[in-house]
Amino acid sequence: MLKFENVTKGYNMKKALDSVSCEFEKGKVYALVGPNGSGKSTLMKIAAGLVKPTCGTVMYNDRPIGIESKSRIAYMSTEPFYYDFMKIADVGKYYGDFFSDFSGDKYRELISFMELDMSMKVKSLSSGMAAKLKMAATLSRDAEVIMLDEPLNGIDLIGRDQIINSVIKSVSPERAIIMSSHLLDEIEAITDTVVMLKEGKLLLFGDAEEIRAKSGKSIVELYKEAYSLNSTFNPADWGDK
Amino acid sequence: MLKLIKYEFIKAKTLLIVSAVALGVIEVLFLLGFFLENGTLFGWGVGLFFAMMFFGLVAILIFAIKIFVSELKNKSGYMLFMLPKNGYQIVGSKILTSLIVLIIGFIVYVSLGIFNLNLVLERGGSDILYFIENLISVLDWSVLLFVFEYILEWFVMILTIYFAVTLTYTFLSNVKAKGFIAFLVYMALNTLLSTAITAVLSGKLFGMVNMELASYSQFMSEIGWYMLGLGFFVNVIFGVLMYVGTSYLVEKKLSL
Repeated sequence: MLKFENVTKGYNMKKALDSVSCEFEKGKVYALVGPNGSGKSTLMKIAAGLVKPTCGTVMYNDRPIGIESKSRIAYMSTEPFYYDFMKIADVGKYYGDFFSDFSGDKYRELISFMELDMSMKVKSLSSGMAAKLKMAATLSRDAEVIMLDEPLNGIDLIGRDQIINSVIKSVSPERAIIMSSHLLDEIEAITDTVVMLKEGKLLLFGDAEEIRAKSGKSIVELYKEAYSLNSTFNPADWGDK
Repeated sequence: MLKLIKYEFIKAKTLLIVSAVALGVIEVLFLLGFFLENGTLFGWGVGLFFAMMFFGLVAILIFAIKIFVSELKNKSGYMLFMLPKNGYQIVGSKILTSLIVLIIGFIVYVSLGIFNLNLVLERGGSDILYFIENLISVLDWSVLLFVFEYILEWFVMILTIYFAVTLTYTFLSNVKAKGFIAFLVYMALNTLLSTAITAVLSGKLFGMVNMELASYSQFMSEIGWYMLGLGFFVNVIFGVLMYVGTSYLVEKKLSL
């Protein structure tokens, strides 16, 4: 469905992604994990068409990233990105104007679920409210791939439950959901597949259940092992990679 | 593309409101000066009215570039570039929005100008009016073509700046002093454009050194049409190249 082949992205002398190859399938929830600078956001932005790879190919349903993929892939960046002049209602109108899979009814429902108000100005929202707005707009699309970059950033405990619940509601056999997070323990329960990145390289890509069964450890424990100093972590023992 | 244009208008809302208010204030000054027969107010009204044409063009130029740069530079660019639209549609919508703003501004400006001129004509002649009347009688509709060409050049300038700016966020994104390099690229492209026109024109102009042009119509028949045609041709070619170049960079090379 969404396939990365030897994808590298360089900024100056640094490689944000280094020869990453992997494929995301529909019907699964992916946890994209790794410390800051591991390449999670870059990978998502490439799939969203916002960043162009230095080399390698990214294909969506066997076609390069472009208009077609952008109309089927919903991306939520970790940073706030809505225009300052907008109100929450305007964000919905904007998405409705450009994305044929956007549902205004679902948007209203999610905005209400997130305890936001349509008349609020985007510029005046707290970071938690802005994060909820991004979630509501992104999940109101009936997209085949939903990518959420750090959806729990800046959200309080109650808000996290709201967000996790709205993600659960969006799970479908026809859709892939890719979530990046530092708060792995919060998303492990809803994750089917784990994708670990380290310094731009793919460290581990595999079924969460199988990895847990093989290793006898939780994904959170493996994460700590993989990214600790003097790590002896061998991904070949646990995943496809 | 119409929806893209709609949002470009919303982004330019501030410019439109400020321009409308400024033009309104100037018109009020002019009318007060005219009806109260106050020479100072009238003079300010007329002077600012003419200045408004220049400042209006500059304001549209600055806004067009400011909005584009802000979307290349800030996270709000995600809103635009994640849309299922290609680079040609995105750049095209920005240029078309500037064109529509310019046309609307031009119509409002000229209408006000005609209205003001009529007011003054009704009251009786003056030296300035005598000059304007003479000017109008000498010129013909070909003047409109020169105005059109001037507007075309202005658009080519916007496109050239778009191209240079896009270069800084694509091929030059990892280079220090990328802004300065982009400025040099812009200057080089501008020089290339004017050199191309001058090179073709020079032979024609050289032959006219000793020619006395008795009237505007003689000027037009000797060289005016040639200048217009050449300027139009070169600017269209250059503008299309800049548009395609910018759109290609946005589509294939831009990383936000």
